[in-house]
Amino acid sequence: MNSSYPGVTTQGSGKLTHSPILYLLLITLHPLLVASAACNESPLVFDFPINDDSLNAFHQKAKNKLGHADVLRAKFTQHKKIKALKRPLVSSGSFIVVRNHGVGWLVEKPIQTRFVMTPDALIQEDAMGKKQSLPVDRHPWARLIADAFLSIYSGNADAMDQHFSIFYRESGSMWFIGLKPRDKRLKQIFNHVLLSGVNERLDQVVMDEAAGDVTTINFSELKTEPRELNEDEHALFGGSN
Amino acid sequence: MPESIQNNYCSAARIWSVVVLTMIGLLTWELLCGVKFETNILKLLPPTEQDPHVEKAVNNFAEHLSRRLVFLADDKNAASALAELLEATTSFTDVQFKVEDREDHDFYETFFPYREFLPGNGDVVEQAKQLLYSPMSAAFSRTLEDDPLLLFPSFLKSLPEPPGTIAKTDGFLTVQDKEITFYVVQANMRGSPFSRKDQRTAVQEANSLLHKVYDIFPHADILTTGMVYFAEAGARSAETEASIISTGSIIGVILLIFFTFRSLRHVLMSLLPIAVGFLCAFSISFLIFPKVHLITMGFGASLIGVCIDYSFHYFAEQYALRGERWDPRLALKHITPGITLGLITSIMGYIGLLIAPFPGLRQMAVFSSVGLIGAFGTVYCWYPVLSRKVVMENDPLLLKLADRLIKRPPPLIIITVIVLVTSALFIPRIKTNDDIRLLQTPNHELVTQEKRIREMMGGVDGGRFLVVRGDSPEQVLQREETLQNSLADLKRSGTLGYYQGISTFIPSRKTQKARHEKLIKQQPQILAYLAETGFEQTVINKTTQRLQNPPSSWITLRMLENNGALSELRHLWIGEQDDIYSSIVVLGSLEDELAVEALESLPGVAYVDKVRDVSNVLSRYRIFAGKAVFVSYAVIALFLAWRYGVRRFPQVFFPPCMAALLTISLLSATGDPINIFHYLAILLVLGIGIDYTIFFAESRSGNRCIMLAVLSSAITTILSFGLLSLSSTQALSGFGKTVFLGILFALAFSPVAGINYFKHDEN
Repeated sequence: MNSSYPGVTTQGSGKLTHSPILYLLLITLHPLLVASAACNESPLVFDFPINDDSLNAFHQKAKNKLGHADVLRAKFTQHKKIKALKRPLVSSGSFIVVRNHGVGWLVEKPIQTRFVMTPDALIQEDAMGKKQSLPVDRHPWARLIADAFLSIYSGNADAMDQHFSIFYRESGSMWFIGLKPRDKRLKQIFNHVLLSGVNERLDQVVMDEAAGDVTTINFSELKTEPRELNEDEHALFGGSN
Repeated sequence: MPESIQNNYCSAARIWSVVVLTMIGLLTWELLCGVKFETNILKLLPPTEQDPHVEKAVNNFAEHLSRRLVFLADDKNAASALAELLEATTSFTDVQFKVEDREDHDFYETFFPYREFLPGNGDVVEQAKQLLYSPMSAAFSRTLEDDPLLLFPSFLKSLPEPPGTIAKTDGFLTVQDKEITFYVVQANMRGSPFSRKDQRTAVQEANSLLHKVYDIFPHADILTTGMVYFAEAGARSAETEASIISTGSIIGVILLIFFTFRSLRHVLMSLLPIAVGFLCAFSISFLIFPKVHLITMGFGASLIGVCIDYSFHYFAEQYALRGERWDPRLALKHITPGITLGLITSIMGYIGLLIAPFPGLRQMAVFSSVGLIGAFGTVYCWYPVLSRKVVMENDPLLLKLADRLIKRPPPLIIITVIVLVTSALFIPRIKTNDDIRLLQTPNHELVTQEKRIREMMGGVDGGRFLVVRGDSPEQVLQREETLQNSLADLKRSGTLGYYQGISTFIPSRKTQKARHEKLIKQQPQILAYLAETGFEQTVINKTTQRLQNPPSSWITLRMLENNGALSELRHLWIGEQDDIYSSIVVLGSLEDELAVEALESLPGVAYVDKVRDVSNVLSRYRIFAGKAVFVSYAVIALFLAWRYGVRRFPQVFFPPCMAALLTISLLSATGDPINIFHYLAILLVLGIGIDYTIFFAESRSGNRCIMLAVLSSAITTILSFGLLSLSSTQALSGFGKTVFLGILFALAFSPVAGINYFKHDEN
């Protein structure tokens, strides 16, 4: 696919700040809905691939349906079933997407640690406020995962399309987006990723990992206001203007 | 004429023929064996003042860097096509484009078994938790069973970020220039970038490959840089200049001889000493020096203007000994003292260059001295046999000019006063410049492209880095770790953008041991973490077991060999030389050189700044050359005082001396910064200028033909060095300009030596 779209790949690597179609698929969330029954129906979505032609339609649909917000905040709860662990690893915290800046993943429980994914960097900040920039480029895994996450959480369809084949299905007011990794290295990490929601909001992300682990993230308490970042949030994205 | 003298001349001619034939044989043999031309500018210079081990490490590293070519293409397919084409050629090797999956796997395979020894940042349990709850954890979950402490990912996390905008994108190395992503293709050239043949092939091949790529991808933008481009451009321009200077000089000589002496025989005869001079110069230079530098040749080309001098004196005698009185042997007898002394003083001037341990200057000195001896021998031994009696009927234009010049020679006192006043005004204002760029041929396009590429690639500077030495590999690694701690501080403070050393990947045994011991000490906390996170009992057991029984071997430098993942780091380890081991730490975006230089206080650490070191050398030798000028002038002054006595000495010595002073004053007045090459030129001005006055002083046949010979000599010298002053290499152009001006003044002042004040006194 890269060879047929040299223009797209030149922009490549999910460089969101420079991407011509920014946050097209910025998924707005509603505070009302909490859990969902998406899990049971999820595999079905993979019967509905989106090909290159319908990708444009998908973009358009997403644009009409979702509009866009500059800032998006939500709470998340993550359940991670890992083979080496007797019980799932549970963590929770908050989540912020800032248009043109990136995504913040702020774990509050059981430990405090914050991750900022921007197109250029992946920064980790521990409870003491000590920042560490992850050398995403040293290890392509990290780069890919950072890109993949950024595309998923920021709803950047272009970036999504670059790393995954996209599947889409609607069932009543519910929708499902299925993502299957294109890249060999991403395939070593994910079998597939499933995003689901009702109407205009994203409720859940399920990642089926190649190692046999399953990560389920539920979102709640979505807010698109205030549109301005507070001081703390500014500091979070400080390095990526 | 007695038979015996006739025989003397014939035997001299025979001996010289043997010498010339020997030289021809020698040169033929040398050419058959293959002569080598040096094009590396740094090879002209004496070694820097660094410790010999540092110097060796530097050379080793420089050799690695000098063979590399970098291409940046803004189109992945163009880059891919280029990589394929490069791969298919014989001139290039080690082509790098795609970052192989295997490389990551190799990296994992190499380090994962030693995870307990790998350094990581901060507290192990804290790090593990942070990674476990990070959105990235999916990448590590496969290894979680074997590495529940996430020691390997922590190590990855502790590694430095690549410099500049270098990134791995979709399995390719890329850099970023604002909006544009460039794909990086790297290759090494097979031969030496400083071998004229290899560099020419490599550059031609690279250019033709680029053309092929542009044919397929006309809109692609491909940038490229590499030492070989600079070396090739420099060599090409030196070659062009050498041929322009020599052709120009030869044409000048031919025209001058033809219009002055109006005979083809003279023209052919005059070319003979030049040819023999160059024959000797080349054969002896190739014999003494393993490689002759192209700049030596550029300089040597200006020798034509000096070699011809002896012929001029010989020919000019025809105007002194007109008609029946003219005899080749008599003419030679008249000029012999003059040209012999001239040769001696010229060689004395060049010997000044020989004293300095400056390889380039030594070559130039040997080349020029041998060339002059060859020319002298030809005039002395062959001319009497070759020349025929000529009847000169009309005075040529040049002779009329000569007459006018000697009619009213400028008074020495006035010259001295004027020159001393000018010198007093301008010499104190002399500016100096010892930058290495003096020796480089600037190529604007290459420089801009290199700068742009370097900026994108993190400003890693091949000319500025740190060398760490030690008695054992372990000591080097430990010292490098200490150094890296200081560098980390500098990086945090923004003094430094990037650094990389081998110990980041191959920690010293001490560090590995310390890491493992720390893990053992923290076992209670580790166990608590494992339990509270909910790891299976088997995982917990396996972890404790591994902590107690770590791998029996360590991470060692041997892993650098044959390991694709570490191939990029191999050049950082220099290894052993005379029982001393060394490594290199590269630096990028260095803002404050002094701060890094201060790290030399750490044991075994040396800071290398190639540009600064070379400039220091040039500056040291500039001062040295300044002194050498004084010493040479003093020695020649003593020699002349002995030969001519105190009363006549100023007439012979002052004109070239004043010419030199006036030249320096003028250069200073025009604001030209002075470097070592100006001083060397001043030496030459004395060497040549003194010839002119000596000829007058030694004259047996009247000032008229001496003036004619001096005038002709000066014209050709001025032409040769005038052409050299147009060189694009600043050092050569400064040299040419200085000799040009100096000889012009020496010519103007030289008739002073012809005034016979003392005859008047005697009368």
